[in-house]
This record gives sequence, C-alpha cells and structure tokens, in this order.
Amino acid sequence: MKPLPILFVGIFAALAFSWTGLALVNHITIGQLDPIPEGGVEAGASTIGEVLYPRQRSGLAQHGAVVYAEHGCYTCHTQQVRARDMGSDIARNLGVRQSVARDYIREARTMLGTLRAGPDLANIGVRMPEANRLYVHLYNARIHEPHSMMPPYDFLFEKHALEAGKPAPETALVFPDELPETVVLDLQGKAIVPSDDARALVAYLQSLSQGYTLPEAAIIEEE
Amino acid sequence: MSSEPRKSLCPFGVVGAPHQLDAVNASLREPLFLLLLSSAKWLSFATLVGLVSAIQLHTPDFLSYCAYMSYGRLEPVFMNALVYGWGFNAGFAVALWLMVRLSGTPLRAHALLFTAYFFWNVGLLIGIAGIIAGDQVPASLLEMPGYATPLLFIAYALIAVWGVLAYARRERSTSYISQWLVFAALFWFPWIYAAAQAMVVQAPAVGVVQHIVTGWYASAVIHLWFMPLALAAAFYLIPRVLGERIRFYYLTHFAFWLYVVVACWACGRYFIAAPVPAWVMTVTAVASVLLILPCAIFFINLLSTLMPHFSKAANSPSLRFVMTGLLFLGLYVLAQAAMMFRGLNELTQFTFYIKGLDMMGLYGGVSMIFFGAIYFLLPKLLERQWLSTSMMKTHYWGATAGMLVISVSMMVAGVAEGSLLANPDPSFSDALRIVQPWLQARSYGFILLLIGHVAFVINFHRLLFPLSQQRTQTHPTLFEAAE
Repeated sequence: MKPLPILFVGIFAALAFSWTGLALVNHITIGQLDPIPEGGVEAGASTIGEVLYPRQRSGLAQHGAVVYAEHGCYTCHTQQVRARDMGSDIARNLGVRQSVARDYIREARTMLGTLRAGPDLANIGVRMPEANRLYVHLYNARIHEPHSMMPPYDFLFEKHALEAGKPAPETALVFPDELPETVVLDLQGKAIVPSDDARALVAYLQSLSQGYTLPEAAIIEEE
Repeated sequence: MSSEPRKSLCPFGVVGAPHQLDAVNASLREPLFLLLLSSAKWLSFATLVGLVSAIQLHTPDFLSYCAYMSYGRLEPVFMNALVYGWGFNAGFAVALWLMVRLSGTPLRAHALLFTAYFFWNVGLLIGIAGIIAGDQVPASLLEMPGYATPLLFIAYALIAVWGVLAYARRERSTSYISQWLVFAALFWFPWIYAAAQAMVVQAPAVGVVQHIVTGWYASAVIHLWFMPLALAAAFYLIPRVLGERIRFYYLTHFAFWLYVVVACWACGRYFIAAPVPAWVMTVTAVASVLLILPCAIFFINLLSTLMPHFSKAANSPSLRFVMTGLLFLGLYVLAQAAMMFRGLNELTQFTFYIKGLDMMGLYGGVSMIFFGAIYFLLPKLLERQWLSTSMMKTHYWGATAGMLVISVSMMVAGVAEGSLLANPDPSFSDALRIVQPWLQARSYGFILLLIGHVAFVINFHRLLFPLSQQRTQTHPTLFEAAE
C-alpha cells in the first residue's frame, strides 16, 4: 500500500524543504548583513574611523552576555521591540524604532526571548543607564518595583562588614532611604559590593541599545 | 477484541498465531521496562521542579538562595526533564511498541537499544546538571550544554536506525497509518536535532538565524515528534480496545501527507513581529493555521470511531486518557492557530499565553495519550493487571484537572495582561498585579498534577515490582467493574 521509498523520500523532502527555506536561506541572507554607519552607506565603503552600528561590545559586556544566559534572564525578558503598529512597545518607550535583523549580527548568542514576565530589555541601556540603579534592581527588584516577579540575585554580590570610622568602598551599592514594606534587608553595618559577574552583567545591560538609525528601520519622530 | 480476521483497514487484527504474539511481547519486555521506568522517574522529578519554579514565579523569594536554585535555571531544568526525560523515554517506548506490534516480528538487536537507552539517560543527566551549573544555552528546548548533547544525538540515532530497520524488515506487506506516523517521527527527529545542534548550540549561526532555527526546532519537537507518536498511539489503541475499524480510513492518506508538508513549517508563534524577514512570519503563520486541516481529518477518523462506543471507551482507562489527550491536542492546535491572527497575536505575544500553549502542546495532549498507551501495554507485556482502580482514577483526575488549571489560567492571564498592555498608559507593574492570582492558580495546578503523577508512579511500581502475596487478577482493570 505504501512502499518504503515513497514514504522515505516524501518525509525527507518535506523536512529538507522547510530546513532550506527557514534555516539555509536566512543563514545566507542574514549572514550578508554588515555593520554600517548611522543612516546607511552613501555610495561606496565607509571611511576609516567612522562609528559602525550595531556597535561592538566591550569585553566586559560580552562576558556579561554569558552571565545573562547562565542565569536564564532570557526566560523572562525579551530583547525585541515590535513595530509601531504592533502592540504598544514604542508608545510605552521600550524603544524608538522596531528591532531588525541587523541589530543582532554582532551577538555571539541571540537572546530575543519569547516571554515578558519582566519588561523588554532591548534598550535597557538607554532607559536605565545608571549602574547603581541596575545593581540595586539585581540585588532585589522589589526595592524599586514592589510588584516585580524578579527573584533576588543577591548571590551576585559580596557582603563586606563596615569597619568603624572607615567610609564604605566606592563600589558599594547605594540604596534608597525608604524601602517598601515588603522588602526586608539587613544592611546594618554592611557594604554590598558587586562581584565580577554582577559588574559584567551590568556592563552588558548598559550596552543594550537600539537607538541608532538603520536604512531598513528609520526612527520616526512623533509630532 | 473479536478474533474474526480483519482486512487491511485494521491490520493488527491478524498478527498471527498466539505463540508468535507471545514472542513479540517477550522481546519487548526488557527494553520497554527500562524506558518506562526511567520516564516515570523523570516525570516525578520534572513535576517537583515545575512546582518549585511555578511558586517562584509569584513568590520570587521562594528557595532562591543561590544561583543553582533560581528560577532562571529551574524553569529550563523543568522543561528539559519533562520533554527529554519523560516525553522522549515514554515516546521511545510507545514508538518501539507500535513498530514491533504492527510489524508482527519480535524485536531484534537488543544491544543496540540498551546502548541507546544508556546514552540517552546519561546524556540527559549530564545536560540537566550542566544547566544547573550554569552552562545553559539560551534557546528554548536546546538549553542543554553542548558537551552533553552529542550523547543524546548518538542515542537517538541508534533508536531511529533501529525503528526504520524494523519497518523495512516487516513481515507483512501491508502498512498502517500508525506505522507511517512513527516512521516519520523516528526519521525526522535526528535531522532536526542535528540541524538545531549545529546552528544554535555547537557553532551558533549569525544573529537572528539562531532564533529562527530555535523556533523551528522547538515547534518541531511538538509537531514532528510528539504529535505523530501520540496520533499513532491513538490510531492503534482506539480500534484495538473497541474492536472497531477506523471510520473513513481512506482519508488518512491525504491527511498524512498534508500533515507532513504543513507541520515542518508550523512555527509561526516564534516569529510574530520578530526581527526576522517578513516572509518567514507569513509562511510560518499560514502553516500554523493550515495545521488545523490534517489534524481535523485525523480527529474525524478517531472521533467518529470512538463516539458510537463512548461509554465503553470512557470505561477503559487507556481510552479515557487517549480521549482527554486528543481533546487537549485539538485545543492546542486551535489555540496556536488563533495566535496567528492579527489582533489576537498583538494581545497574546510575549504574555503568559505562550506558557499555557507550551504546556498544552508539550505536556497535555501528548502525555495523556502516552499514559493511555502505558495503561494498555504494560499489563499485556507483564501479563499482570493494574492493581488499583482508585489510583488510576486519582491519576486521571489529577492530571486532567492540573493540566486544565495550568493551561487555562495561563491563557486567561495572557489575554488579560495583553489587553491591559495594548494601551500605553497602564504601567508594566499593573499588568503584573493582574496576572498574580493566575500565577498562583498555576501553582495549584502543579499540585494537582503532582497528586496525579504520584498516584501513577505508585500504581506503576506496584505493577512492575509485585509483592508475592498480591492477588492475581486475570481480567483487565477498568474504571467501573464489568458486569
């Protein structure tokens, strides 16, 4: 009724077709994308010394991307802004334009994400540029967002006992004076200092920005 | 089942003389015993981890003292243990059993299977430990680190080679829809896995290509592996238990090939408004909607065979699980297709809706049908009957209610959250406040699931390792005592 070769060829061809279409074609076309100067390349190659977008991350930020993956941050945070007519991403200032394929060509591991149990982070470096704010959020997200579902990453920080008469280390976290009732922190006589992983992670978060213009994704100024 | 010989439409009515059947069962006993025992262990582990990570989602402080116990690691551990531990071990067992029974020849090459079994479970242990240690790969269902996955691939390739050989060497020239589905699943998966491993895990491709391949892979795990196996089991169990032929059997040819073509592309939910080429979004969204068509035909076949004998089917533990599983599979296909439509995709994308969808596709439909198959095949293999009807009932109601609570609460939460966020004014934390009670409901769903699974595991262990003084029962265990 159903000879083996027909079955074999049929199911193989169907799968090969979808692999060619989705994986191979995109591997070739997206693989041809290069970083370009803001606004696009005007007739010919870019000049030496020109800033190319998307920008290369610093070594510390690249290590931060590994820390981001290691702790599964991508399970709750996306890194993609939808187009202006799709949801309220741009209206609620998650970005100034939609994300496009070129934005990700320099990433070793692309972490677009599928769920927003926390807000999108594609432009967190623009929205929350200050390191201390990010550190405090990692230490306990409910200090600034009382309803946050984010687990505390206090294990990314070192607790140092403060010696009497000596000032706190420069890198120590600065907490707000008033904490929400739901947050109980034992900070008396202690300085909270970020570990190397925490510093890398924050450098990575600060580097997340898609605020430049690309020819395929122009920033439209609203009236 | 009546002993009257059947023609090609229901080929397993004429498997051969009883002594041959015994040989078939005997040859299956050891490999299936091992596979199902491992699958039950992974299921218990996955349910426990799932419960912890579900609680962590609404109570972030719960057990998150160190990196190893934080949500970002436990959630991938839960999904991987559920999919590769429970789903694949049980899926291998179901696939082997269907292939061997339908080809009517005893299972050969035990050594190959034992090697595969060993590699699979050791690879999985290393992979799960790798996620906990912090080596996870940030891609859905591909989280296991690159040093563990080659073992899984070798194990899988051995099983697939074995299955394809079993089909090629079958003694009867006839073939049945279940055989094609199992054959397709066994053949497809190693290619998909190899492609995804190469392009995402071992040598990551450029930028969003990783996301495209991950979406293609994660959908394929459901559509090209779990769903064909579940449908194959349903196409075997329903006629077998009821002693009826599949109605409108001729439609299955058409549905099978349509399924083959469409299912390979049905990954639209990962690409809605994503930074990928527009045609990728369009083609995959169309395929995700088209998937309804072959599934609807399969459902017409199965349900029109079932419905005239509904009370008999509901009384059989295996068919009751199969029917519930089919219901969940149907809901999954529809809920996924609904997500492709403009308006609803805007609301549901990135919300907890997708968690409900994942759970329904990866756990709900498929696991229920696998449970049904296990309830049917184990007594036949071991020549002992299930001991406790009440345990079976607890399992059934716990799993069904748990699944319903989890998936419905997540879908409702997703739509509520999405509707709120569609308006730019409410803040993100307003949306979190709305989903909070639904996330708590999800944890209760996991508790129900845990109760069901504990009942299953206890019943399962008592069947596998009987005490000597246990009464021996000859008739099959049903929900209501037969008259």
